[in-house]
Amino acid sequence: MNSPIPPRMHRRQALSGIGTIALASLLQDDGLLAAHAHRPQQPDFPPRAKACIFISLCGGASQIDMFDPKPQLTKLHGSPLPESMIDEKMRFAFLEKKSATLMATKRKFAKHGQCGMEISELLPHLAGCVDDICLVRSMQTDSFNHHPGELLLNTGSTEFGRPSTGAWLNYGLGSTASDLPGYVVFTAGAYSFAGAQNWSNGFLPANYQGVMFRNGGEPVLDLNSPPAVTPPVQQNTRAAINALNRQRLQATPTPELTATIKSYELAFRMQSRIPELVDLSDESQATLDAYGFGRDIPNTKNWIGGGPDTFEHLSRNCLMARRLVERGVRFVHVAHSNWDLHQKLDDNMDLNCYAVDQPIAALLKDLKQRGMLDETLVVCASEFGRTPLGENRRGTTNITGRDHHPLAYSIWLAGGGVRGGQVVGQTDEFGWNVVKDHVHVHDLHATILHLFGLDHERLTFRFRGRDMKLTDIGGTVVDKMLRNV
Amino acid sequence: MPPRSTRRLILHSFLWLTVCSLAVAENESDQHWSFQPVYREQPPVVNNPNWVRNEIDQFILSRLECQDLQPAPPARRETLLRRLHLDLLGLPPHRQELESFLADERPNAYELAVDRILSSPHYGERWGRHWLDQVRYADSNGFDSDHGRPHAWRYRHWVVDRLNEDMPFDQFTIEQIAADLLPDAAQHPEKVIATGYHRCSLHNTEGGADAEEDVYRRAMDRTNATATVWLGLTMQCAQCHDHKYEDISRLDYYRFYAFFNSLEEDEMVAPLPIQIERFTKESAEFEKIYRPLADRRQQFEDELAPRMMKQWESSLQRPAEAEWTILQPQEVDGSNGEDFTVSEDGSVFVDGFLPNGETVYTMTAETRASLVTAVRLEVLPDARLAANGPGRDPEGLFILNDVHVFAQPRQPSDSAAEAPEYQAYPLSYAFASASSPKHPVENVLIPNKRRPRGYHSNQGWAIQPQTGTRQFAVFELAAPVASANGVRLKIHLTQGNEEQFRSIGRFRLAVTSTAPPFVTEGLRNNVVNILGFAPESRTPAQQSQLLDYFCKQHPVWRTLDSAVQGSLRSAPPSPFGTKARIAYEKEQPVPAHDLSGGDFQSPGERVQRAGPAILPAIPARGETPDRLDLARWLVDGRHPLTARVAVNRSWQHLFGRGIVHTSDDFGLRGEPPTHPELLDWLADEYVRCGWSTKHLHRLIVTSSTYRQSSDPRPELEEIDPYNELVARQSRHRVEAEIVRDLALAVGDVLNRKIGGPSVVLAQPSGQEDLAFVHGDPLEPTDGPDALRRGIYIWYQRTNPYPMLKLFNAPSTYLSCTRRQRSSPPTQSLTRLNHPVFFGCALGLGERMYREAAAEIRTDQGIVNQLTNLYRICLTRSPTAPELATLNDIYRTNIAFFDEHPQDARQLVEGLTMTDHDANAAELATWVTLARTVLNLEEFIVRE
Repeated sequence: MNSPIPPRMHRRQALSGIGTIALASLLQDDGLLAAHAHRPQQPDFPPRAKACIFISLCGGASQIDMFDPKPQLTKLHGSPLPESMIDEKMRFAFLEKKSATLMATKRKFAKHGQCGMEISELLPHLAGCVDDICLVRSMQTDSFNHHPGELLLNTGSTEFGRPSTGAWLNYGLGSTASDLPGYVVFTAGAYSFAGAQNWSNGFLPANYQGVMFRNGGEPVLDLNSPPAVTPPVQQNTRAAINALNRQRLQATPTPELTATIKSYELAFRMQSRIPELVDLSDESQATLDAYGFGRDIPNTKNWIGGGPDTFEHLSRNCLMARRLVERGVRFVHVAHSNWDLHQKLDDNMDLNCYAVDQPIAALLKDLKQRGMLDETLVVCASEFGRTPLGENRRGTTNITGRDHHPLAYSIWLAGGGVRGGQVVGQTDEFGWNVVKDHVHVHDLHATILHLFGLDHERLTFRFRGRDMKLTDIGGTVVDKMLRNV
Repeated sequence: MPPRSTRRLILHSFLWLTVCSLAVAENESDQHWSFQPVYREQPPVVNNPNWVRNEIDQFILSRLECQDLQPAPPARRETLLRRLHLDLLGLPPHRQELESFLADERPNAYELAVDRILSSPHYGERWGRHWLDQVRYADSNGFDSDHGRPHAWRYRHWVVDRLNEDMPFDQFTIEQIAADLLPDAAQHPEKVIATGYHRCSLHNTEGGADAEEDVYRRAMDRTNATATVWLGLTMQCAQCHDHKYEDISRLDYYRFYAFFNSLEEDEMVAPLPIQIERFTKESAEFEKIYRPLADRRQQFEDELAPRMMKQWESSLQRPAEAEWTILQPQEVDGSNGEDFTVSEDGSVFVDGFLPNGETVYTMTAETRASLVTAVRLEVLPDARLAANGPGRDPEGLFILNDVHVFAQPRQPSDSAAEAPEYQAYPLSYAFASASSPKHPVENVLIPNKRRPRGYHSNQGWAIQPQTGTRQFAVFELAAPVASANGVRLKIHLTQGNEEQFRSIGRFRLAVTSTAPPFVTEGLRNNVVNILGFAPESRTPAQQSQLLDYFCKQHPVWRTLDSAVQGSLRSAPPSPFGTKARIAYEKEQPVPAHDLSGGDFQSPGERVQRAGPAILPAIPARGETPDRLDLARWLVDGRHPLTARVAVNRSWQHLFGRGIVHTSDDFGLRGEPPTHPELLDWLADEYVRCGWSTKHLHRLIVTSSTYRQSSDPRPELEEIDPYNELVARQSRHRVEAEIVRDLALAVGDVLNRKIGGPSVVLAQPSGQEDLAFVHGDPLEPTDGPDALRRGIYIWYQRTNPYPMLKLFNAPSTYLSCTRRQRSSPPTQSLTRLNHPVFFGCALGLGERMYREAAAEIRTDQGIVNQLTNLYRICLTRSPTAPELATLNDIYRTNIAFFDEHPQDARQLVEGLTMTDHDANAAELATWVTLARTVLNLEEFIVRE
């Protein structure tokens, strides 16, 4: 056998074809599983994680104010960045390179936990979780604009049309949720950059695209029966559709027809299961309080991170992430936007951190307390960070924000086989460049796949003549992040 | 190591390979098959000539016979009719069409039906959509800002029209790639609409994005799309480095790129012929209403006004010096969250975020004056502003686009009464202490400057070169605000929607009660100037300016004018607002360079235009080839790829799978053709018949091969799992747009209008947050346009209509030659519960109920109507077992609804039938049956 494609991939490729026998047999041996969910495949390594909750702070959170303390920056506040540090080709979205000056954080940092990790006072709740967190201070990305940056973070490429991490994981491993989609997306806040491209299936079969759960109205688009249709009428219609489809299947046994029947069955199961899923009345008041339901709502005028509802949305979305993972969903994306802090950094950081800190910390503690954290990988990241320089955009008279910074920023991971209580990587005294343990977005992706037992070099899909990968043309597993087995 | 491209074929065609010859495997030439010239072989001799209708059948049957296989039996006639309709038009046949076809006993009844279908104007919509997939058509720019493209549809319209008239594919190609370079382009500017092809590329206008980089990226995007659409090659792989698999170097890439990097992007006025025709006709009608009203206004201006003006002039005495009262701001707000600081002198300083687009300041203030006749805006210098202001731009510039004044009577602070609504007070006249030549203050008076989304207004007031100094503008109100207790004002200042950063940094507002026309600060406005001359010494221009001013403030004229304006609302829309997005060659070609790593900041050696070295050279009319040479080369009939790629895509749409399965990749990594001789024969035939696409389609759909049944053949699953031998037709789901079209058609609500602008459909709430939308959100269409075919749905790249996306509509970020087909549960939810689909079920149910109201509840009546339901939706009668099931369903539901009248009434309450109540159970049963059939798998499957 001299084909370089591992046998697993032959089978996968067959699924993308039309009129395949493979699909039919897959559906048949899956029995209970629905059209979109395929039996988990044999992984390449022993998997540590079974599910991933990916929290994205869209727009570029400020690592300087949250995660990466720089005493030297405080000392040199107001002076220019040393000439030697600015690359000729370095471009910025708005910042004027020649006249920009260093801008220190106003936030105090303190050591927390047994590990003594330093993070800022903006994140008092997360500070209680640092022993489970692997903080990466040496992230790097390729793009300084939102749209391509988001695409790179979510799909591994600044090009369009690539599948997102959640789609790749579902493609590689399937989902164990029998009556829910394997990939669910929540958004909260103002608006998102790159929109649905961030949870796209790209060239993978559309069954792997993220299904968006909404903050208001029906949790999933078209989930509810039309208002005119009473439950028994819907039930009778369901029975009628099923009877006629199955009768046709007798005469014309095709995999597509089988898939449609399964798809309708799953749709009806979703109709009955999702209302129960989104009904939080079985959660204790203590849990709801922990996630920050009903907390004080500050004044949100001019806030770029949403409106008064956003706090509750984030509490709900984080709690929903746990509930979905409990039910076997493979990948949950929780997005908050936006963090594009060109102006009024101080006010917006206060509100943004207040909005996300408590629900995220509650999620980590909740997962841990339920014994789920070991198998649930939680990642929290932005598409890039923010400059340690103040943004002196043309015409601005006083500097109140920071520009996009792709060279060095911070993200964190927890659970799912990640070694918590440690900091990976280091930046220079200004936080301008990475000086130790560079972690590129491709490396992050390679590591995520590794934690799920997948070799990022082997999880491929043939498209336009190329065997495409989540990690595109790069990616090395960051061993330091992994917990010893 | 790349996998052997022939791997799979060899696996399952082992037996066949030993008997027959295969060009792919056996060819002695080193060159990859698709780069070799097309070779038309004699169609092979077959054992069963009776099956053969044309040459296609010989190629297909010969190969089947090599493996001792028989083709599938022909499909039933009703299946064939539905197949033809879905494949060629994307709409189901009418019941009458089915009946007359089934009754047609002429031997060539099928061929006649094909001719009828091919001449339907819906053909252009169906095949136009396939073409739009390839050229990645969308109604917005993509990327972060994702501005709309309100004129993009004009190119789509062109595509639909050309396909309907069967424009030869060579001409279709040349016009899209290079119509601007055609010798007769000047005589036939409408041909240039076709270059809208080049304008389908994405465009990044995100604030802070590098505009220069985007110019490069757009050229690369065109290069990649052209390679996919016409060559079936994955050239984009060579954008950064030499192609890993193909013999395409990075130099090859940038030589090809050089054809596309000198394009000027523009718009042209491009009315549809029908628009001009309609406009001419409707204008005549409109004149009948408009003319008398306009004449009355004219009469006032010509006869009454000059006399009345004399009286007015004498009553004016000497124009007064205006007295201004500074407005002390109560509230100031900015649409971009700017910071405002109010000084004691009433001036407002603006700081904080500096938006790079439009912003609106809103200020409210009160005055005790009982009359307000005009508003003065001062723009003030300030040392805190760049270049001393008064604008926030680094050079102190600003542009004021609009001023809106709203007023209400001032409420005494102890009044408990609710404040009355604000009234808008339009402006009638403006003058300023200084204006820059391109931005006179009168611009502010022009109403409705806002263009459709994606377009910037280019009108406003600016003061350069008088920046850095205090200047002011005075705006007279058409009618003064009068209120005994004083006036509360709300004033909007709209700025900067033309260029980045052009907002005001410090300003102050004041009002006056002086009756205009007046003098202020010694500045005599134009009217006052004219009044200074004795009537007999005024120039005719001055005289008419004064008359104009007089009329506009006179109540009689204003009444007459508002009648004219009212009639204008029913004026036929001007066809000259219809524009096309076009591209043409810059006067000076932009040099192209080899870009290492695809990085525009790393230009290497300069490159000249040329095709990829593996293909025949492009003959040049001049020294080096241009885009027109490129286009002609593609369709010169000897090009090895163009015709093969094109016929393969037609085949793919008519059989569910191409002869080359990878219809976007004819290179080494693509799959080889399953029937290479047939592919070449078709390619050659296409060229020979003058690139007539309808001829090609007629040829294919009249073959026995096409007419086979699509029923699965279990005995072949082992040896031919992908139906590569075409031993049967394919059975597959129709595309996203067609799923919706089918429901609308059988629900009898489809609006079959062809062509025209895109239709914005209402998005579910919350959905719009997905896109970063600048400017106004799109106004959804309701009414009949909302029920047009899916091809016309506005496609917002970052946030497409969810139903389309769900059923695998392409992303439009890349050229798409082959859509995916999947069936996630969310599709089923949409078909079940989406309001459009439910509405179609209601419509269809009502239709079924009405049609058979007379005979309903007799057993035969029910059977007839159940059969009709199947014939309308599925173009066939139910089988006996199906009829039994349908009968059961009918009886179960009627029993249920008889017992639960409330459920029945609720289900049909959306219908406006008068005889509801008596027959609610009956009607509800038919709605349920309609909904059931609309949700059957078969309903959206082409068999």
